Amino acid sequence: MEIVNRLCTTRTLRKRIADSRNRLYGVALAWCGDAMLADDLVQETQIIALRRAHQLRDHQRLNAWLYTILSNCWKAQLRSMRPNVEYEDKHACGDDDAESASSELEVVDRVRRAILNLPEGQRQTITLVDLAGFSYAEVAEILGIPIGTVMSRLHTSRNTLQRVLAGFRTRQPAPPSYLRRVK
Amino acid sequence: MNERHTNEDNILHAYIDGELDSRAKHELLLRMEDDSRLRERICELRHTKEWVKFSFENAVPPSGSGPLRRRRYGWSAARIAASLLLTVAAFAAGWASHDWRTQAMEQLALDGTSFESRHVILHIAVSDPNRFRQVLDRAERLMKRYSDSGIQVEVIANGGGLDLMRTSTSPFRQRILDIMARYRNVRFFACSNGLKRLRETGLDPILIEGVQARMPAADLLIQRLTEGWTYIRV
Repeated sequence: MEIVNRLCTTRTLRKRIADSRNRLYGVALAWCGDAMLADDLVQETQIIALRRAHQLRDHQRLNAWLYTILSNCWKAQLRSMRPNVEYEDKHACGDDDAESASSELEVVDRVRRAILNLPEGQRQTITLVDLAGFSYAEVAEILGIPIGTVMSRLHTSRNTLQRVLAGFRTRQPAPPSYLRRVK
Repeated sequence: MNERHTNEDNILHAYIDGELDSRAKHELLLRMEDDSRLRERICELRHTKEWVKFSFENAVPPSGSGPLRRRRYGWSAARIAASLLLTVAAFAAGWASHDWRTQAMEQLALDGTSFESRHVILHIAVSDPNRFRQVLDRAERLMKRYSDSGIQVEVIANGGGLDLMRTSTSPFRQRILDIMARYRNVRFFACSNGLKRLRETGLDPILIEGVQARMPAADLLIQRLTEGWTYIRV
């Protein structure tokens, strides 16, 4: 009976790993800024997780474990592309961009670029908290940093993003008055 | 911004992130009742948090991973496999010259496993005639040893390993045809992305008859691993 239970548990775990693709992808995209590379990182993460699923003793930790693997894959990728990192990190998000942010999609695009323009550590931290919904303690474990560093990175990155968002607001044309349409 | 202000702000961040304990949360809520600037600051932080979430939460991986798929940094399934099976590869490499021990390892790995585990992926990602021979040897050995238990073997090639399955480059074309003719449970797959990349370089890769190329190697590997197949990198 125990063997049957273990088999079922393993199958459930594999299924959960396979189903994690979209969730991992959002964070991977926020980290690397390239759709194809993000997809590759997620695939690599899933393959590693599937291969090592038997090593995960506490299945409640699956989510944090997956993001730890993703973080390691991203680190390995950064190491392999180091000569290009400086160039790739320069995701323009200057004042000129804000001037043309006139639709919701464009604002989303600008926010994405603002996030991609954050320093690597801040970018990882804020996306793990705000996008993946991890606690500070979990983020500290995933990234291998103290909780205090998680908090300071959050503080700095959110302040930076706030300034960028404030820039959009002041430069966007006034929204149409919807009240006039109500009659 | 001074240290006191930072600490104060950290409390607000912790509040919107659900990190405050009950007492600290209560104190903050009471302060918010009388402090409009505090409420405004929290509203700003929540707004920023929502933007971060909204900007990426609906992002969808490139659809289908079909033939148009591009791998910008050459992050091929070869590298994927290389990193994921470092230990296995190192171990296998160390024992490569001791074929009888390799056979014993395979047997140990497959005996006493569940039915799905008797299904095996043999992954080849390098262009090396010795490795080609090894992968075919293994496929045949597995079929001889486990054919009665309904074993399925899939040889998956990508990167340099595609040379094994191309008519113009494979030194083992006839042997692959013989294996496919002899064993219905052995199938050969070439990575569709790898073939696409070869075509982009001006080559016209023609596969040995019977070799399939319906999806990227990474997708097939994930699918098979999800189903519980045993993975062996050659």
